Amino acid sequence: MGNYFCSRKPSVSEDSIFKEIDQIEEEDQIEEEEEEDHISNLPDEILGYIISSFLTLRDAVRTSTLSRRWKYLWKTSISNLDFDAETMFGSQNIRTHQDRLKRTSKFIGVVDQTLGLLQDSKLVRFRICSQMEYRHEPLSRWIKFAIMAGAKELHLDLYQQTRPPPYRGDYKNFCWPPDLGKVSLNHLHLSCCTLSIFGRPFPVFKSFDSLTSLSLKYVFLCERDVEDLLCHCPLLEWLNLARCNHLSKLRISGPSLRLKYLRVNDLPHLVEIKICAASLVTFEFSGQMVSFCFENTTLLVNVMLHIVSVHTYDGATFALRELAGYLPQLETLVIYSTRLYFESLFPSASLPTYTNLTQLVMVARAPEEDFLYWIVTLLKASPYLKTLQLHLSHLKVEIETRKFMRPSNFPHSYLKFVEVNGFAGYPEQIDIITYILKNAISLKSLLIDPCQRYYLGDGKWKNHDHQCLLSTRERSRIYKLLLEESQPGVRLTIL
Amino acid sequence: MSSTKIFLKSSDDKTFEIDETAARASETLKNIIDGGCLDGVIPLPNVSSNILPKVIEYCKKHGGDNGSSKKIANGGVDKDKEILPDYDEEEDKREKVRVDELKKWEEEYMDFDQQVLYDLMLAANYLHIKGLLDLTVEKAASMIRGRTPDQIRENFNINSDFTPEEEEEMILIEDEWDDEWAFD
Repeated sequence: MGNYFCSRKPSVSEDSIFKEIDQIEEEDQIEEEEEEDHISNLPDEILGYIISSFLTLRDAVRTSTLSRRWKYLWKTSISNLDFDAETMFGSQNIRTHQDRLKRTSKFIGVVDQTLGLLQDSKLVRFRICSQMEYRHEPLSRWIKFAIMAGAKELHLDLYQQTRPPPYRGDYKNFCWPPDLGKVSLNHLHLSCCTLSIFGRPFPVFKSFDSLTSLSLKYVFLCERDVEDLLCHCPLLEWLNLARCNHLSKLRISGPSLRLKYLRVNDLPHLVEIKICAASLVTFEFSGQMVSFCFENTTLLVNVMLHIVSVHTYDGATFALRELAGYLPQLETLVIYSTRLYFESLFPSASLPTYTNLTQLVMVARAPEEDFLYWIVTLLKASPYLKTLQLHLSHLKVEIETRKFMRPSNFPHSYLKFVEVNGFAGYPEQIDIITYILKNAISLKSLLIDPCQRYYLGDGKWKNHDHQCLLSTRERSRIYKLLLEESQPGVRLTIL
Repeated sequence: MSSTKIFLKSSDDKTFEIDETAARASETLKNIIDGGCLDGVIPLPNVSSNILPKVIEYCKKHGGDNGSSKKIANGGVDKDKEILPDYDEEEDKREKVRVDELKKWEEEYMDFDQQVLYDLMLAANYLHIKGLLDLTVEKAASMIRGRTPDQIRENFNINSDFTPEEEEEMILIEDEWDDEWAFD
């Protein structure tokens, strides 16, 4: 209390003066900072990288209004133009036909406006992904724009709400412009298009002669069109044919074919495939069982088979009885499960062997009681197998596993690396792993990944967003259980 | 791993030490090291002593890891079984801790003012450290994404040097674009 009078509190006026000084100082600082525009001083290279790789097209365009420095930056830095109606406008409010028409109009407006600003630009990739509601007139000019801009890669992902099967002369589908002349495209992806309405010979293929990869989905093709196509694409190395509805016989051959990769994906009317391609390395097939013929395919070492069959064991018969005979050189086989029913149908003594197969990938589409038999049968047919990858299913269906007898033990002496994906801890899954641990006598590592994956094609897999069904406790319990079954020296991992 | 030391000299002639494994996070340094023309000190005329320690800090954290964090390689090591029990759980925990820790580390690492951000970008670009470039560029991009031109200018202290007429034109373009893109 005694100090009360001695302590000198600043008077009100003094206090406010201090505040003012502080404020002035702060303002000075802000002003100083404001003067510095560091980002605009960055080199074009970095600003271009920000704009082209980290921003959406809308944000990229917006940067052009910031200042003179930025005005043309986006135009010179963007080399990949990707117009995807769904990412641009979302798919939430599209319910009625009117909504779709409105969205298509918007889409056309935005693409036209953007391209209008991008005159004289250089492009590498150009993609259109939208429903066009039969408003095809802008597509030709967009394609021409992309080609003029030097694009090497072009995607035309058109789709329709209701998808009528495209047939020859279907004026409703967009027709690839026949008057493009010489172009230098390397990669082309077409979906829901027609290649010509004028009949053969297709003038359009003239614009295909620099292609190294081509993907056609929902495109009308007949047997002779494919022959023409292969003749007119002398550089083609990668070909994907998907849902081309009318193709019934597919013949892949040509005098100077360079094709290395072929994917045949769900051609509903296909009955026969004949492959005569000396350079082919990888062949992937999904769809109903057809008649296969391989001639002069000595380099073909990777095969993916996903045979969807309503009846019985077509796929299994083919993989176990015929394929090994056609392609004894096979090194990698990716195969989806198909019904086996009884082991006795495929007695191991009668099986041909895959003497060069070192990598086997097996996919179960749903929990199947006989998946283990299927695995064991294929393992027996591939005595030198080194790597096995299993893709199990998370689906839980009550299946009567116990009804089936466990397969008898059989040593798989070359098998060293096993990877199991989609592991959810189901008893039948544990049975499979236990069998492997017992019979793969030189096993070095077994990796178990609870994450499910699905096949994208061409050796690429994608993780399901699905959550892991395995609790830490469960994982620990299974780990201990498996450890007891495994032989010394095996590296066992559950992710 | 060998821990050979590499010496880096900043633009203002200060020398810094870094492990070779860490230095390999930079493509530029990696090429110099592999090129065999390593002669004592590597001069970096484009990187100042203000920013070089920050770059080294990043390299130390990321050197030696080549992006793959999870899967074990197929080169299955013959490990003794005795040391294996609970290995997976531990590994799993460690993995989670590692990711969390890295996120936290990045957050703290990226806590600096804008001038440092640009210097880091330039250094990462010059030294070809893709991870660091992407980290810094992403920070700048996040200040642009979904914002109006005025907000962006404010974020970066950009002065619009358009003439009033041009300015008006820009506003028109922007409005037109907004109309065009808006979907309701």
